[in-house]
Amino acid sequence: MKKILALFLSVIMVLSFALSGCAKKNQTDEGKATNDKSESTTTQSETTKEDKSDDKSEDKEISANLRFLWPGTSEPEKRIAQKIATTVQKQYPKVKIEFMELVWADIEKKLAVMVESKDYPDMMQVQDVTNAVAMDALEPLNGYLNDKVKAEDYIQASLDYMTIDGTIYAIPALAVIYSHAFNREMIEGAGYKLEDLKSWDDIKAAAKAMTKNGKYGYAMANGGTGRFTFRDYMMVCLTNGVNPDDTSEEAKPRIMEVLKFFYDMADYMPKSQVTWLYPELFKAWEANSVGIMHTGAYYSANIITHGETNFARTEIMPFPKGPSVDKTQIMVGASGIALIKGSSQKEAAWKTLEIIMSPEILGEWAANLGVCAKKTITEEQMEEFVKQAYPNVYKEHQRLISQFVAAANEYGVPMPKILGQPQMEIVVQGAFNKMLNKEITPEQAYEEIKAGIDKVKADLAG
Amino acid sequence: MKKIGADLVRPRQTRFKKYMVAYMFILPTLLYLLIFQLYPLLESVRLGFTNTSFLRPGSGKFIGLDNYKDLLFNTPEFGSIVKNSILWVLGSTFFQYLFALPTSAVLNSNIAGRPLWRGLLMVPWVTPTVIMGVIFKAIFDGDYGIINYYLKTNIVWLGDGRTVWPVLLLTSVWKGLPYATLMILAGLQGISKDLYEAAYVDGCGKFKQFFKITLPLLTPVLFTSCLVSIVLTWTKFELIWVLTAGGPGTKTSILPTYVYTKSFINFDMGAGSAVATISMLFMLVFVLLYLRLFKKSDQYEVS
Repeated sequence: MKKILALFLSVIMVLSFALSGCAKKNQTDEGKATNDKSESTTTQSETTKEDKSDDKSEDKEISANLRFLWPGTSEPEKRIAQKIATTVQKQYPKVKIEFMELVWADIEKKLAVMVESKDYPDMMQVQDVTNAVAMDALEPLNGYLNDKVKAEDYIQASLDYMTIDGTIYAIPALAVIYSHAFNREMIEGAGYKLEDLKSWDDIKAAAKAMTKNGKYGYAMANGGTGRFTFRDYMMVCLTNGVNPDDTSEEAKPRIMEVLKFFYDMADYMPKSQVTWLYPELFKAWEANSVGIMHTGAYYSANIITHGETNFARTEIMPFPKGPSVDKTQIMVGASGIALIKGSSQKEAAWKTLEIIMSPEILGEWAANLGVCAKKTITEEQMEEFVKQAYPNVYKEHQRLISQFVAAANEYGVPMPKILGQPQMEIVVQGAFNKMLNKEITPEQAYEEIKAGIDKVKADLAG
Repeated sequence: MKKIGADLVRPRQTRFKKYMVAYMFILPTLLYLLIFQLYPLLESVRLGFTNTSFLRPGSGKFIGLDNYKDLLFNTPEFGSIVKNSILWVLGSTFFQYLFALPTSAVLNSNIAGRPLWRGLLMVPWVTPTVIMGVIFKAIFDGDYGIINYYLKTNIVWLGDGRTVWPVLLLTSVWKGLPYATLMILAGLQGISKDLYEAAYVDGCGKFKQFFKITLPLLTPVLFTSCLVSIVLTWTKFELIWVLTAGGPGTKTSILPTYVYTKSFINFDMGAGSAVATISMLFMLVFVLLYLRLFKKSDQYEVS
């Protein structure tokens, strides 16, 4: 009897183990089966687009469970996600959206693993599409454009940032304008005027004058895996007319000028920035202990959690031109929505994208997080949302956004799209921290960066 | 007519029948190990011989030992990463046990509130590693950390080459101390008081008792728990990742963080798998050496 009972129990254990293992597999198999049909689904969706049918009853029949990679963990971003889900479900009752919330640094990793295991999500928010396109993960969107989503409605630089070789891989939602923030109070306190800062030498002199009593002229966020070190480097490189990944002999003099500039600035930067990420950098900015830093149109969304005193003393201006050029440049990227190539629910995903691009959603999103990439959404449409997002400082926020837009209009260039940038970020971060610590010279830093970037390029070339 | 070999076959069948129930109980574990341990391990070794990269669709070709050659001969930072790994494992384990021995002795004595102290000791162990990392990052923050506040210093603990490793080791010791202490405490409680009484009667002092009775009888516990600590520390990836992300550059990278960097930042799964395989082989050799070196001391006796 005991033996029979033991046998029965062991069989139950084996079966439960096997079944629990199969549960996921079934889902995967189902996904695979539907993925196999993805081509026909796409064709079907294209046919639907051709029909341009406005039949609401047909819309209501669209059924999907969309998985959306959503790198938005702040409260406003979560609120936007919730609003997207509710609005989509109101229009398409059978479409449900599961937001997979991640931080920006993890989104490509998640995408890579999901795509590689053929467990495709359906949509994602994306900034630089280069790696995702290299993974063959994104659906080309040119064929999807229609009256609701027209290319000409979007800021060209942002759309360009989402385009590779003429193929649009994402529809820009926010224009991410990168520029420098200047602390007027500290700069004027040091005896300078903002309009005096016209060259790198002016910046060095002002930074030197500002560095005293625990305050620093310039600060970077050099911790983590080097994402923000590279961004700073890239922004200053562009002001000298060179791309940060350019390791050619012709580019060397310009790159050397950039490195020497940072080397000279090292004395006016806080030592602790080696461990900083954005939260620490913005915290120091709110504490009024930093004179100049790089930022983006996301400035308000990032700094608001640290306080509001900074808004009145912050000015957004392009970083002055470098010694090798006549005009400075600031980079304009974008944050947009992409569809995933392997998804079997592209039709529902595109319908969702159309809804996201509406003034009700995109307006609120942009009001919270920066500059709207869709030109047809007016400031009036966004004003109420801005007041809700920044009730005490909404005028200051609008002033800063206007400064970002003005800078982009005059000096904006598309942000460089660099394949293998995450690998290069680590290389640049390592060399920069040694250089800023005066352990190596700018020449040695250049050699280290060049060798590292060339190796990344060679590895990616296979 | 009796078949040739029937006698040879039957006992095996009988044996299988006899132990069938036991085999059935083992089966789930065996399946688990095969599917979730052995298969990924073998797959990782296989990937190490390929050029698999998520950024190159169609990659995955067999390239022999190229990944290994590249790591050993063309990656300048690899040597320092291996050194960091050894420092990390040996340093953590050594200091864990250095502090665990007196701690367990105190907790084994009749101190007031003993259950409370024993309970409190477990706090670092039950605290998730990532939370521990975040707390230590705040404590050693170069701008607002309480260490700088109380010491009235301005040291960037996690950014200075001279202080970053001591802080990392301290954090690791803090996290690992409860396990080591608990193991030694269990060992101490297993030593008969009669031995100490007999030694006392023979005129043996506390110091001599420790070296002649306690330490030899603790050897088996120390031997096993040290080995477990070494393996646990070797794979303690998240602590370093939270505190320094292996940086700046690769200054505080160890092999497990480097696996992550190669695989999920560079998306170079071939090279990442090669690092993982080297890491595994390194650990294997390390454990074999450990077993060979300390196995003899397992033959303890109380003198």
